[in-house]
Amino acid sequence: MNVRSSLTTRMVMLGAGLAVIVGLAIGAMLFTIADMRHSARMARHSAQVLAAANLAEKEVLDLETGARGFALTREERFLDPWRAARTSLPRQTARLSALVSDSPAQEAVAQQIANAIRSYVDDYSLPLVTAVRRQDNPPPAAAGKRRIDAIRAQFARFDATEQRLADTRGAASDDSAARAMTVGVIVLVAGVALLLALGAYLGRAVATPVKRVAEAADRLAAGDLGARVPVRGRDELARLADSFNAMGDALQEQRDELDSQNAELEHQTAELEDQQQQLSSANDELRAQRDELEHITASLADETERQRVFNDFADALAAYAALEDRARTTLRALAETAEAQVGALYAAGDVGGGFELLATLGLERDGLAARIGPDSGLAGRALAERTFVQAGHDEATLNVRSVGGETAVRHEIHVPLLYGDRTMGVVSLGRTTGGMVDKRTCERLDHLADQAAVSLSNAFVTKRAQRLRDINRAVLDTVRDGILLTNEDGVVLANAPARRMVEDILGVPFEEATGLDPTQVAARTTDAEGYLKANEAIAADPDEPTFDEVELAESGRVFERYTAPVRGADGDRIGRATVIRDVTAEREAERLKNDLMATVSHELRTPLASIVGFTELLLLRDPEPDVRASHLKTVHAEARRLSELIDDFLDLQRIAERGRLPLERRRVDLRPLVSDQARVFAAQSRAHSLEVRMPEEALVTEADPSRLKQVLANLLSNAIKYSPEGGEIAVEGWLRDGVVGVAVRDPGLGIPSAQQPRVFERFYRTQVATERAIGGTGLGLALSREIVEAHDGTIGFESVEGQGSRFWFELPAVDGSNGSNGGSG
Amino acid sequence: MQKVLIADDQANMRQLVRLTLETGHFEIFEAPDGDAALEVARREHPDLVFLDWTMPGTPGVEVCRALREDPRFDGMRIVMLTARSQPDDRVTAQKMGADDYITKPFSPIELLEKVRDVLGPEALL
Repeated sequence: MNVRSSLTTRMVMLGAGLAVIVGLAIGAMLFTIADMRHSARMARHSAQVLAAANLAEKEVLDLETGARGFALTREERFLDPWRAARTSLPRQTARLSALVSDSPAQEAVAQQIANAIRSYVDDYSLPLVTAVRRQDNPPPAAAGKRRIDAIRAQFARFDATEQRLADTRGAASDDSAARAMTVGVIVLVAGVALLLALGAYLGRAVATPVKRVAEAADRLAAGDLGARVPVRGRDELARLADSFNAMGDALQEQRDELDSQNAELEHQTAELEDQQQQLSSANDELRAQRDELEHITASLADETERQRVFNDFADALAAYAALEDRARTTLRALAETAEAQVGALYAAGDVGGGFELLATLGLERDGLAARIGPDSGLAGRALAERTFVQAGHDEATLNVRSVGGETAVRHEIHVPLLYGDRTMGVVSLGRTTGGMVDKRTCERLDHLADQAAVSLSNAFVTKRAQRLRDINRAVLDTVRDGILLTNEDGVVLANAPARRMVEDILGVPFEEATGLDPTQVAARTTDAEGYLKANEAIAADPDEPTFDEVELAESGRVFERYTAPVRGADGDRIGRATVIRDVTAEREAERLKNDLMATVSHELRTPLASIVGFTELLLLRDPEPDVRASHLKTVHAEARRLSELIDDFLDLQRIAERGRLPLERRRVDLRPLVSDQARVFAAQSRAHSLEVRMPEEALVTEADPSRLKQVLANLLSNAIKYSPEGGEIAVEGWLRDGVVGVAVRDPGLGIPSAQQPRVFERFYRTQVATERAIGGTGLGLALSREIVEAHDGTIGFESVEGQGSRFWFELPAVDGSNGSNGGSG
Repeated sequence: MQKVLIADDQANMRQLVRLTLETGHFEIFEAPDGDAALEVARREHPDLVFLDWTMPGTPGVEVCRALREDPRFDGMRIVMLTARSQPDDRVTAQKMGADDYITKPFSPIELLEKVRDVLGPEALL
């Protein structure tokens, strides 16, 4: 070993010294912390004692309020907390005593509290509960309160003493904490000083030699392969310097070798350039061969000329998309080739069987069969046998009637139009000169017929597709929902309702819909933010369907919008389908239904509240007979009111469902009916006087008396309700011009003219009715009108706001001489 | 003695609440409409107010709002006692500052329990 020990040994020795010093310091700190924890435990003990005391005190209060609540209501439920407190209090006080067993003075006070509680329960609270149960005279409330106050005072004394103890223990805990803090600070300062010293030593012994090696490495990297480091000592750093120097030597050798390889590469490049020159001469030879080929091609031009005729025909066919145009072109081309003057083309119709006449040449259409089949003469034979059929005039007797003009047809040719194994049709041609067509012409006709068959087949497909499109369009237009198909190019398909609804929503013509600023549209809706959000979701074209609702602020119309991605048969995305539905009417119906439910519920609950409340009081309190009678009267009246409400409501429901009320009609004199009802209502209000004026003669009509009573009761009750100041209610009857009538006039609030048209609507309440909270469902007049109209009568009113109203109804009169009958009760 | 105001246009209802509270020691006031309720509340400073919703003149919730906006009635407890039973109604009443909401019909025992909840158990002693 050298004079200087190795770097590792020195580091280990320094670390060990540091650990011993830090260990000593932490030991001192732990000792002080243990001292502090003891003080804190004592302080927490005091807090537990105080909490236990509070709990016990709360239980004592429960005893008192429980017993008192029971005494007031005789409800066993109020005794629940009282019973719980009684069970747990002995446990609470025992725990309190155990907690303060280290302080004899506090233990004594806890014992006194326990005794006082026991005495309160045995001498006061228990007798109170027993007395209430037996309905005896309970002990006075003041005595209980005095005892409870005494117990609470003892608790207060106990708490104060414990608080003082807690304060002393708290102070001891603070001292320990301060000591721990001081030791901690000393340890921290000593540790930092030691670390600084270690850092200074490391800088001198390690950083300087390492920096020298780094500088040498930088020079090496810059290309100075001669850079070397001086070696001092024998430690790890000296070995690093040795290794670095060895690396420098190795690098120098490798560079020399690379220089010699470079020279070799330059030689190979020169050789490659030679080979390229040879390739270029081979190219020239190829060009010469191509020129020769062009020459051979030119010699084929004649054959091409023949092809041109066919191509022209194909072009002519392609120029027309419509089936009839293609048929005409085909017929003309074939007639020209066969030098025929007249002709006709039949093709497989897409509707019905057989072959349909599509084109004629030099012939009247009327003289030809509109449809032929395989059994129709020579043309039929060509169709059936799928071959050329030629005939001289003698043989062609079957075709005589198809020939027009003065010149007789001397020769007929029937060319079938074949497409694969399908027979598309037949071209019949007639020549006034010459005989059989030659073989070359036959070949040409054959070729043209093949082309024509393909073309006609395509035209048929197109026509069929067109018809399907028309059917789709017609079906889509009959749907009431708007249906749209869009892709990135815009709208692909839109039915008429979609166009209308899109125009309604956007407020611009359908054609201007694309490229419209969405915020401008959003401003037309009641929920602009929601509309924009839904639009973003749709624009993102998600795989899931989207659903939202648009309500227009101005018109109040509501549209449902459902969108979903649409995929073709191959699974590729075609675009997005949007279905728009105008749900304004549904939403309105829903709103009306909700309003109706709220109104009905409110009207039913109001009388129910009295019924439930008063009956429960009767059950609970068992009151004196006269009070009981008064309660029962209230309950009865409210139950009647409830029952009438339900009847009205059900009657109207029945009318809504069946259209008409079932009536039991018989001859009735209105006079006794009116006076009966007037008597009933006169008894209901002291503020009103009822004045009934009836004529001498009977007011006989054919009616259901119970229903008429409903109408009269309604008019009378309204007259009273809507004249809250009281006054005279005048009821009069009449018979004139074959009708009997009754009117009820009140001096009350009257109906403002703006609200008059709605008075007979179901559930309609005038503003004054709701403002003044005049009871009612808004059903009475609606029902009255239904009843009167079911009797073929009329109902109406005159009213001036602030001056009262006059409601009347008229029914057809009948002859009362043969046994008229008064209304029954 | 705590003061209780009962505002309802139906005399039946006022009587029912009054009878229910009879067992406790309360000074009870009645009002047949919203404006009378406001007037009595301002004069008597009741500890607890029962408010019907549908009343002539100012509706119950408006009475509730008016009382809540007045800092003099900071400690006053307000309970809506109404036949309106839609969920929205409860929310509205709460927004207007009502402490509790009882739907008609109600049980007198329940009413007593609510009184204990809002005024504390000693209210019934």
